[in-house]
Amino acid sequence: MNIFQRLASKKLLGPAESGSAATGKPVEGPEDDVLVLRAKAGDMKAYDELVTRHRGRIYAMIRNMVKNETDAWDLSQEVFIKAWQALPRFEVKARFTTWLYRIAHNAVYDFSRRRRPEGGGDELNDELLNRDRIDPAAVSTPSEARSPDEALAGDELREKIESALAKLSPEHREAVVLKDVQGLAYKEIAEVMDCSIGTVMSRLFYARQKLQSLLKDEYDAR
Amino acid sequence: MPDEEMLALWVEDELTGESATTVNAWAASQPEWLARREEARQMKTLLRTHLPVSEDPPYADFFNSRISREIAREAAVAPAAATATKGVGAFWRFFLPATAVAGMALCFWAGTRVVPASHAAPQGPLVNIPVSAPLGPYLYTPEKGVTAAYYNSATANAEVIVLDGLAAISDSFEVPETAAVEEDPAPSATADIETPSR
Repeated sequence: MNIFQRLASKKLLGPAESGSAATGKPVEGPEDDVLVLRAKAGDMKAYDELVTRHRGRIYAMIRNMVKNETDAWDLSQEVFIKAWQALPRFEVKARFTTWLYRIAHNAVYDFSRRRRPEGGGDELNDELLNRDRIDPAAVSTPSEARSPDEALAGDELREKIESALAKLSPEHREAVVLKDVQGLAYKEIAEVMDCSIGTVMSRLFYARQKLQSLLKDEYDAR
Repeated sequence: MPDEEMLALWVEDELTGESATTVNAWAASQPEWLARREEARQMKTLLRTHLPVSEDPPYADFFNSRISREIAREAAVAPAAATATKGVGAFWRFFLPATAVAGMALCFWAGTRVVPASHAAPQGPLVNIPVSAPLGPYLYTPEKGVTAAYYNSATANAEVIVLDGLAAISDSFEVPETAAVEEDPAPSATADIETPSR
């Protein structure tokens, strides 16, 4: 079974729509705009709801950029704390999600500049984040609906993809993650990365070419 | 032919409505562009299947509570800091730039007035230097009860410092090894110079 047959036999883990619609998954409760207005007025419960709503995407994006759960956890925290501090300056006419991605982009780049030789969390460590040690009854336990064989094959491929992504430059990696994983539109990516749409196109084009060559075996199996 | 940006958006399936119809009609006869769109779709499918779009951070509840705690902590610190800097601090902050400039100007002026003795040319008759003016270095003894006196003899070309009040060194005192310098009993082999035999 080649990679595309395997893909066809599995359901996607997240929304695969392209463009801005992909970032606006159906939400329960009030819209982001309403929560943002309430949070700006000092309502911590509203902000907590925004954190709950967006933490998954921000954490997944950062984790794909830094490849370390502990650092991704810390950086995601930093993003939401900075977002709170900057909330008075946030204009509601902008998309809150895009704005968060922009803060995450800055946090990741700052982190890369001051990267420690060995990643070690201050309060959390990798041992603590070992999924085997998470209480199965916990509300936030990741669910595993795949069979062991499927899970193994999927994990292997995920490792290959992550390894290939790690070989891209940070700019190329981010363009691919935001476009092909997070499903942002070109315009949104340009806002997040603070560059022109043309630059995003160029980065995405070269990043995909490099990824294709790095994942050549998977493509040849077609 | 659609422009480059339009084509890029079409490849990513970002076009809708009339623009999508127009580019679709054009691309129907462009196998190269169709292949490019297909590649982009395959890449997206591959990545989205194996990399989650959204993944809750471990200990998600703790994740939220820690953010709330940090925000509350900062909120508690900020008013205190603001109060501390308000009032007198805020008043003086207004004068700070002017004070700094005035200070720099004063230092510059003082610098032009103070001339080292060695550089100062004698002007007019020399003033009498008081005989009682202390000459020589200022002596400092760190141990209480010990005094120091300085003697300078120009004729003997000698300077003497006498310390009074020091405890006598007992005979049993041994100089610590670290302070001792051992003399090399014999010159090292490398120092030997062999005279060439004739």
